[in-house]
Amino acid sequence: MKNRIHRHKAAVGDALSRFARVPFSSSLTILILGLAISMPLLLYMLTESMNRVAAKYQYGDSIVLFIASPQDSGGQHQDMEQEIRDLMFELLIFPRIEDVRHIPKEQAFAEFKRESGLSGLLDELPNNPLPEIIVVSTVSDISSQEMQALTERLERMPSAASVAYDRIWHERFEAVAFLFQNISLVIGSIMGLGVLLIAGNTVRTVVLSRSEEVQLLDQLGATSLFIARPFLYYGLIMGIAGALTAFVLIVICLSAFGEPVNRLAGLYGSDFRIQPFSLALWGKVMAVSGFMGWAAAGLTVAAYIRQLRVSVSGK
Amino acid sequence: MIVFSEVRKKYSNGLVALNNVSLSIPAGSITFVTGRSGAGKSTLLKLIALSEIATSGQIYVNNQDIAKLRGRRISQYRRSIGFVYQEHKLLSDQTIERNIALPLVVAGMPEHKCQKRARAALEIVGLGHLATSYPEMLSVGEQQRVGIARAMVARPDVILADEPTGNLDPDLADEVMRLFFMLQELETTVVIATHDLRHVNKPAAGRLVLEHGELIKDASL
Repeated sequence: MKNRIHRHKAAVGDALSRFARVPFSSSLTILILGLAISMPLLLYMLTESMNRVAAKYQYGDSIVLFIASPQDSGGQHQDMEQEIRDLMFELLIFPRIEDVRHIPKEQAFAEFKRESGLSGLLDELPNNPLPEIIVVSTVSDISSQEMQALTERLERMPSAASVAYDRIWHERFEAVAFLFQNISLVIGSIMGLGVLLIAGNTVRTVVLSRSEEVQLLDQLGATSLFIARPFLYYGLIMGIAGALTAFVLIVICLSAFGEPVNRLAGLYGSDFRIQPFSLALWGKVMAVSGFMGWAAAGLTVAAYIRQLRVSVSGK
Repeated sequence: MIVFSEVRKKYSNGLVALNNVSLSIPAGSITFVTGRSGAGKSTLLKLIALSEIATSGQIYVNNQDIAKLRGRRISQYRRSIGFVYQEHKLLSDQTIERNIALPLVVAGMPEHKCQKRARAALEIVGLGHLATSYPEMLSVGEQQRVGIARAMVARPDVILADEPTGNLDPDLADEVMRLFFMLQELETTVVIATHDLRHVNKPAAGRLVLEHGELIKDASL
């Protein structure tokens, strides 16, 4: 066990010494990796921030149900208050509805007069033209599909004159977030491939510069894993260093653009904020990036050893 | 024991390096393989070391057909062979001691044992004082002795040497040859490809002569 640990330590030391020997090109490669990793991460961050805003608005989702007046329904005059109470009770049984609130038409009219500044004109009206209103609040995690289904169900109710909610805005926002999510996924995949190729190509250069050593080790009876080990650590360290560089780049971007974006959003009355990553997510990014560096190194060295052994056998 | 049975080696460029060579080298012997440049001496050693694969025929080393070895068994087999290269093949970024310890490290021997064995091998070749030096600090003769120390450190069954005295002056060449005879006394099978004919006629040594890939004289013991 002790011996095995020693071998791994030696391989890590060997990998680190490779970076130290060519500091400029190593730094350049790590910087390129950092750029490749930071771009999809920035997009992801933007998408996450939008989703948070969307989620926040979702929490306040409500449907406004305008109740048909007795004249509209064409029926006989009924006890309106009783009808509304029955309706509210019925609505509370509906799935995905959290609360219902009645706004009497008198209260709605008073609020409208106050907020519209047309009280003089409105006072001239012979009667209150506004209908009774029931505000239906949904659960916070309701999806847009569920919201639409609920709205349609409410519209079909005999007492409903009309139903309103800011569906279009909500759907547009969700569509934009979805688009960003897809863009970040596609760019992330392309950049991931880029990371794999950059790391693979760098390791290939290192392997070629050490081809005599690799051949000698192979001839001395080293297993493929023994030969590959320092290169695997090289790829792993390169991947992690790339992720750390991406972290620094994103922090720089946030400090440069974060505050202006937040201020701009504030001016438009939005509480949109670019959310920085959590430590847990950074851990995942480093693990994935390290793994990709490791995998790229593994594939490259395996291909080189295979080629070496095929050429030996004269095939 | 090393046995070649109608071994033929043809390279992809069409060159036939060995043509239907059959021979037998007894275990624990020292054998010189001689011949002009291009006669097939190096190829013969590479085939034994499994650095190359024969196009046809069989090669048996210690009764195993080495062409049938696969995967890890190839690595294991190679660990039982010590190879001394004409161009030394020492790693320039490692100390002499680390260079010598490489076969032991590869075999997974604990670090302290590697160090101990490498030091002992260095003492045998008379370079104990150069353990912490780097290859570029050594003369050609010293580098060759380091190569021999590396080949013998894992106590292999067979040591192969390809023109080990090619770059050495006669005195140094004698010294290097003395080391090979010493190894043979330790029951190691030693096969040396050389065109230095001063040592090949010793009574204790066998001799194989190759010409254009064909064995024209077999005076193995």
